[in-house]
Amino acid sequence: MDLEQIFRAHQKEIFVYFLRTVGDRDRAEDLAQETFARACGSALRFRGDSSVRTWMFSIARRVLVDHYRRRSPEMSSSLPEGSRSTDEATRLDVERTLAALPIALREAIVLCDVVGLSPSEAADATGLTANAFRVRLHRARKQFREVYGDER
Amino acid sequence: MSVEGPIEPPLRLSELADVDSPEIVKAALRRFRRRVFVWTIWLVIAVLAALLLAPTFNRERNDLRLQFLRAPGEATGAIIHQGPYDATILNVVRLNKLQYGVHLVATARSLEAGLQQLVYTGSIQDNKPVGGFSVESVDGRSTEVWYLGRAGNPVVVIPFFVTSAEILHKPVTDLPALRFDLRKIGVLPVAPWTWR
Repeated sequence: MDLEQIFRAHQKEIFVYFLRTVGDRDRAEDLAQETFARACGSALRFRGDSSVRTWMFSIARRVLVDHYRRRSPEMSSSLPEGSRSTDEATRLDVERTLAALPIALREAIVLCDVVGLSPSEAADATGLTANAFRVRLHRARKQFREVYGDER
Repeated sequence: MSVEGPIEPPLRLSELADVDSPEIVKAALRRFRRRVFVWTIWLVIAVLAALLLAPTFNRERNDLRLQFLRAPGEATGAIIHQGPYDATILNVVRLNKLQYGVHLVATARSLEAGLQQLVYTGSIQDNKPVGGFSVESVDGRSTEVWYLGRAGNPVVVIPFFVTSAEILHKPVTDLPALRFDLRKIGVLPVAPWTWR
């Protein structure tokens, strides 16, 4: 499997990760491109200590951190795009709730509940210990429920 | 803080992953190739600049006179009369852990001006070279010398010969070496830290 095929296998979930954390389709596309461009540069240094998926997400996370260093995180809480659900209203509520969460909590939910990483994979990708990530995820879900309840 | 029990996802958030993904990989590969190209250009420029500047840098680094100017030291101005020589010690500097330097002008009193010239042979004391040297003839009778000495040895020995003014570097007459001890200069003593 060559690098392009590996990237293609992760293209959608990396794009979703950015789309649901930064909330802007164009920016998400740009950040996803940056992630794969950086992955090209560091592919030779990848030693296989973690899965390719975790490696890709750790690069994506660094890209996201760099992105937020350049601009205020508050700018990212715009309503995400890309809705296609049959229950449009519910989905918009969910997206709005997610966008209202602080970026660290939003990211935890996106990684585990949207993209589908396991908590240990997400912990590796974010550079946290498994327990620290579980605490963050727990807090994120709790806050999501509270905000979602208020929205409704 | 630890978390007990299973953590349930709040809703079916996985539906949020149900979006159309644009073509990203091809654009990312193009971006990477463009970046490599730009880096290569910069690398080539840096290498060319290094190649262009290296001779100047090396020339400066190897120029003993510049090394003397930059090194910590003492301007002494001490005058030594020894044998046929009058030598003015202008400066004694500490070059590095192994070497010190002496900048002096040596004049041979007995030479016929215009006909003969005093030339420093460049031999290093004890036949154990400790580095380079540099000389510059001031006039027919005087020679400016940048001498390298081995740290810890305060005795400076500078051999000279005499040559005709027309044919430089061809010995006509040998002279005794100019020899002095930095500990015994007397009039303006040289600080031991410069040569120890």
